[in-house]
Amino acid sequence: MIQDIKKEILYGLRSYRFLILFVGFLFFAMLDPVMTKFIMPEIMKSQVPGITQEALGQMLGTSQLAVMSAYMNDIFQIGSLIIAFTLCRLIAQEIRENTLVLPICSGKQFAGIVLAKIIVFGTALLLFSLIGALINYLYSGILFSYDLSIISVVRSGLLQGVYMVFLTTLIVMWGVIIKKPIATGFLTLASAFGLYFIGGALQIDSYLPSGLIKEASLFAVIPASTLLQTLSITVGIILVLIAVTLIRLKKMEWNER
Amino acid sequence: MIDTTFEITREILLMLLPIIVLHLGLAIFCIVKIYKEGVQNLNKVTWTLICLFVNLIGPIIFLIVGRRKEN
Amino acid sequence: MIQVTELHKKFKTFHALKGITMHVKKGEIYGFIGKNGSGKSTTMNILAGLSHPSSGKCIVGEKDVSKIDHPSELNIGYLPEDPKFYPWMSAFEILDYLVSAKSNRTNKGRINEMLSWVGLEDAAQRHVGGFSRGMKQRLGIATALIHNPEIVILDEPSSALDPEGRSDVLRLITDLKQMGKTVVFSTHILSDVQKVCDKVGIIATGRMITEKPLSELIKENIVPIYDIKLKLPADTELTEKIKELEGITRVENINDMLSATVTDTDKDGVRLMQYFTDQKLAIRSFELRKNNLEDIFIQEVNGK
Ligand SMILES: Nc1ncnc2c1ncn2[C@@H]1O[C@H](COP(=O)(O)OP(=O)(O)OP(=O)(O)O)[C@@H](O)[C@H]1O
Ligand SMILES: [Mg+2]
Repeated sequence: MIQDIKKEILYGLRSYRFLILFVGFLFFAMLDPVMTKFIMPEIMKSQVPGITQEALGQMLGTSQLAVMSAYMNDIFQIGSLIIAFTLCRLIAQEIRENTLVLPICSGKQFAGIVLAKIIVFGTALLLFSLIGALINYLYSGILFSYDLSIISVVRSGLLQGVYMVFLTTLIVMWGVIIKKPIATGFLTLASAFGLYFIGGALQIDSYLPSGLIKEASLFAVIPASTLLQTLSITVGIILVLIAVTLIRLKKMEWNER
Repeated sequence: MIDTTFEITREILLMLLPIIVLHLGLAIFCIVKIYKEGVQNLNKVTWTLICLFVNLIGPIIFLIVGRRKEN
Repeated sequence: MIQVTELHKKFKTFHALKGITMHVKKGEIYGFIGKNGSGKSTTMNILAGLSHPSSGKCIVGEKDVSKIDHPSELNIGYLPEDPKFYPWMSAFEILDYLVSAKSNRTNKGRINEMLSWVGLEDAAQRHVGGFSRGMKQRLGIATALIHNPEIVILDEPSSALDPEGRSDVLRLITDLKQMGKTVVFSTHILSDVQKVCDKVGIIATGRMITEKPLSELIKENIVPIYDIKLKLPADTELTEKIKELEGITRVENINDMLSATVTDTDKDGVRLMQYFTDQKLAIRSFELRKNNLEDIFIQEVNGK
């Protein structure tokens, strides 16, 4: 298991997966506040001549809360996209290209292989979510004002991170089922966004992982009473996805063409 | 009036500086890779332009789909 | 050690194995031969526990391959036909990673020993992505043997190797035999089979058509013809006289080489020799014609 984790870390570093993901978070964390403060108003002004400062503020949001919520939203939408296609090869490629054949013949357990992937990339994403939220807090604080409490920012960063662990598990499960990297990326996004919309439409967000994203973008001083429930359901879903992955791996035919 | 515009530009620059530095660092890193290891899907010049001029996302796209078979 | 009975394997639309039966005893070197696409790799994948049989029984070691939860329960060493590695890892790192599956300590000594054994000590720290096909094959052989298994299954171990590498593989197989290990390997190089195998299995279109000890196979396929070269070229008169000898069915004289077809290789051979001695004819060579494995293989595959 330790060796599996070491291997995944090596992969993350040498294939620049960590770098890509980290830059993805940084990009939105740093650029979003700058865009809202300087660039968007200019664009709006040129599009709608004579627009008042107040109307602008209402449309774009000038508080730290508005900016950080927008950041959370961007990470959920575009960030998920980057993550899905950066990590879609995580296991699908290994199955497709038979690189798992020798490890398995040498006695590597499926659980170890799968858990190592989820632990390494899940932790990385959790960390990047947290760092991203803090940098975004810093930037939006300088440009607007520090109205949010740092605790709620840390909490939101962590909640988003837990959601990202769920996303990683989703990638691994679809990879094992479909065995094709690009299709894995699309299915992951389809199921992640699908759950989000279902949650929104039926108002059952607090029973779904997408509830974490909603909660995170509120930056509430006191978290919703349903948060614990959302968290435990998410952990439950993660465990179910891992179980499905392992069952599927156990029945797999290896070394196919 | 002129004074405030100047203020804002400097402020923008100051805020953008880390992004620009990050972008340039990443772009140079990718361009070194392009000429040292080779590319796939598009040619070297196109990748270089993408890395240089598409802010941050350019280098990321290159690292995901432009790198020659990882080795 | 390995018992396979009536093994079938169906892919979606293709019936690849139509009844493979094979027996490998402990300590035996088993050569697995057959044309391209005859089902060697398919069989070996099943033996390694990587692929599931459609029907039939397959026992490797003491375990039934359809009753295991994980291929490594078979405790064998397996070299796939086309071994694949992580291109971003070095040869040393790969072996280190694979060794760790069964022992907790990294065994640097063992890894370096294996690497120099397969001739990769100079490339140990290089990333495998830059390896040639033959270097990957060598690394694959090292991975198959890293856990020192009792049963070793090698799918075309000498493919892509240089002549030195090929003789290294033969040396390795004889070494393994000396250590009492059981080896099953497939190959297209029949002279290699002739050099090291105890037993041969010939497979054609998914069926085992012949499975015999090598010596028996060769003996059975001896052609009862003696090729004789005399000091003075034989004339027609001599040819006719030989033809009249007991047990001789046919005599040919081509390019000063007498070829006598006999009924009983042993008795008639002695009789022939006796005749030449009696006639005081000097003999340059006197040989029973041998069929090599190549001929036998072609005969078996096409004949039955
Ligand atoms: N996954 C698969 N799906 C469909 N057909 C397959 C599959 N794998 C193998 N086959 C077919 O099964 C037959 C046997 O293939 P196999 O690889 O076992 O041959 P082989 O004896 O190893 O040949 P070679 O000497 O070329 O290595 C071939 O006709 C092949 O096309
Ligand atoms: Mg084969």
